[in-house]
Amino acid sequence: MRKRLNLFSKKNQKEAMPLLSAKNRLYATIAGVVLFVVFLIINFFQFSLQKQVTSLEQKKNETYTYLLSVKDLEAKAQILTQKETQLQTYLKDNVEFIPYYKVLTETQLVSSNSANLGAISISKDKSVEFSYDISPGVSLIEVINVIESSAFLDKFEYLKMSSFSLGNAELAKGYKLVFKGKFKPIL
Amino acid sequence: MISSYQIRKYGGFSRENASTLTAFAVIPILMFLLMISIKNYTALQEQYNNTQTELTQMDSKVKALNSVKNVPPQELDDLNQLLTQLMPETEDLFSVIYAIETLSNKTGFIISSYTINLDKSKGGKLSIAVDGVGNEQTFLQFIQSYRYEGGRLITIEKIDMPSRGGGNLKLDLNFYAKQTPLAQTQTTTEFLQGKDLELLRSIKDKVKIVIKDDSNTSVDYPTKDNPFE
Repeated sequence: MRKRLNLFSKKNQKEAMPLLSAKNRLYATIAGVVLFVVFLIINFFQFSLQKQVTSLEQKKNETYTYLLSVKDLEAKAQILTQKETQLQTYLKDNVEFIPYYKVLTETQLVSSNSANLGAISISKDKSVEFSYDISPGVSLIEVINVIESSAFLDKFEYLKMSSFSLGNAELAKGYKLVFKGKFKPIL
Repeated sequence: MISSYQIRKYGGFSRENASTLTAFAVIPILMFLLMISIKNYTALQEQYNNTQTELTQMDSKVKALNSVKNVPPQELDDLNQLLTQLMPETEDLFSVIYAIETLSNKTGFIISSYTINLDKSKGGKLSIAVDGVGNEQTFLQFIQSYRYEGGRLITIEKIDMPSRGGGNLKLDLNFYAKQTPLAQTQTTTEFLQGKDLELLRSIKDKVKIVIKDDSNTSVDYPTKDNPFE
């Protein structure tokens, strides 16, 4: 029998088996496309960020140049600021006498001049000791009412009578009240 | 040797799997490029954050400097000089005595004695116990002037007033002398505000600044090369 050559035969093509199934090839293609898209997106953001960085760097250089031009001013201002801060710190270490003194002098214990402010001792932490010399004949109740009034007591964190003396020669038979306490800060 | 059959066989295989093979080649390349891109992006993001932080610091410094930008440089020098006089870097007992005497003369409050309290004098603070005599008016005048008008910063820690009329008063005064810690100021982004400047200006009005400057001393006088001529 005579052999014939048939070029349309698919005999050899059947031997070339596909490496992946059609489904897996689809997955590979999708993965490739997704990776490529992600790659493009990241590069887009990178490009955009690069532009922002360049702009910031330019701004930074301009600011740096300006700061260099006012270097002397900055140095002087820094030293002055530091010294002023020190000054403010030291000023807190102060008794601030006058406003507290006024509280004691402006309080009318009795209507006449029969009650006088005596000794005063005041510290920077606002602790205070003061005395009133009261002339004879003045009602003690009247004096105590003023001392215990909220208008007076509100100026103090606490206030207590530390001593009471009556009828000595110095006071010409009057009496002396000594108080100890602590002022509330007056701003 | 590869036979023509094998060539046909493998050629057919390649044609059949061209897309698969391409994917095998392209996917790792894409993944590699993607990793490089992510790495670059992260580095760029870090650079952005760092630059942003630096710029924010610089901007706050510029903003803070605006409060003193309009102050003439000479005034800044004067205020520095003023504060150096009020709080010198090293203690100077002559200026302490001078300040006490100045205040006494200015206010009429007579300071009869003063004693340095060594126990309380530490950390740049000099504590002096002062006895003074005066009436209520001179004492209150002293109390209104003591802080700056003697030419040194003075604070009072304690006042003992024997009676409202004055009498023999006892005061615990503090003087201050301390070196300004410059190292801390290098990172400062806050400068004097308007109210601070106002305070310093008001102090300047009360204090006579003693300028210690030798630059005005004239050296322009005739000299001889030979002293025996």
